[in-house]
Amino acid sequence: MQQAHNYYADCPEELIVGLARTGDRKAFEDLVRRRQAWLRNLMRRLCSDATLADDLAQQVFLKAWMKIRMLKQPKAFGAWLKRMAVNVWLHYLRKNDALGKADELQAFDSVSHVSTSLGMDLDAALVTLPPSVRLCVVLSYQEGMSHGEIARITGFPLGTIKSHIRRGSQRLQELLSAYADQVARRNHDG
Amino acid sequence: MMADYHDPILKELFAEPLMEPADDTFVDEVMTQTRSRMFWLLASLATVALLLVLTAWVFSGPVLQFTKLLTEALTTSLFDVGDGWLAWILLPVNSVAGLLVISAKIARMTWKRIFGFKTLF
Repeated sequence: MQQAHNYYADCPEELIVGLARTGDRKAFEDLVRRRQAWLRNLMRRLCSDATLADDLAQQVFLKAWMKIRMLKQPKAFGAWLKRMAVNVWLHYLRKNDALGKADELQAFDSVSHVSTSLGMDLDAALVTLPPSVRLCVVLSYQEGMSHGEIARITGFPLGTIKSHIRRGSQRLQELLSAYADQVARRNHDG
Repeated sequence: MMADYHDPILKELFAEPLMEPADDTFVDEVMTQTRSRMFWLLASLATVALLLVLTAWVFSGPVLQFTKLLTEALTTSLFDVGDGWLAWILLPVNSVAGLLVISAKIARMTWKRIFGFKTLF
């Protein structure tokens, strides 16, 4: 006879979150399996170090496990996890005193940089942005969050968010201008 | 409300499919850590409980004396209003404890008014 947790992968996430809140470890394991790719990729975009990203993602899931009973609405699990991920990242930046360096743009040598995909060039360009700017740009473009939502989740003032996204976008556009034509050509052909 | 502007080229770049990281090892590591975290949490709680019991047992006499003094101090009346109906009405606020509670509430309201929401930096 099949055990209930063998069917978790086929159940809606809301149900699994509800089970995890009761302390069901198999349910939480299923949640980790569902969300690990998204969370690890988000952390990789933020810190551009795969090992650090996985370490931070593990911290996020650990915090989620300890606090999941406090989650009142199971359907808000995704947004709740995202807020936790941002807090873990901000905590890491504060520990390393990296939040105040909003004006330090790192050099990007586009001539010598060789990559095999646009994604890798975007990651290389993101590294040149200061951490707080990178956070705002990633939350805006990758997660599709509005400026107001980013302000609420990060605690940064709305004006700072807009400034960070504007500066970050301009910087990325400068660095990736060589690939803008490629993308435009692909859109035209496709 | 106007939608926030997003550069279409950057949107396209961010929409490129990301690498699918292998999941089994990562998931196993997370679940192993949740197990050990729970163990350490329970161990810490048990240690704290044991220390509290030992402290209470060792210092039971002085603790009882302190509790008695504290209770007497907190229930001390601020104003002498006799034993009539006025004393009963003013009972919640006519004591040191009542004064402390009211002071704490005023301080909290003043803090929120001055500093608003808690900022992260």
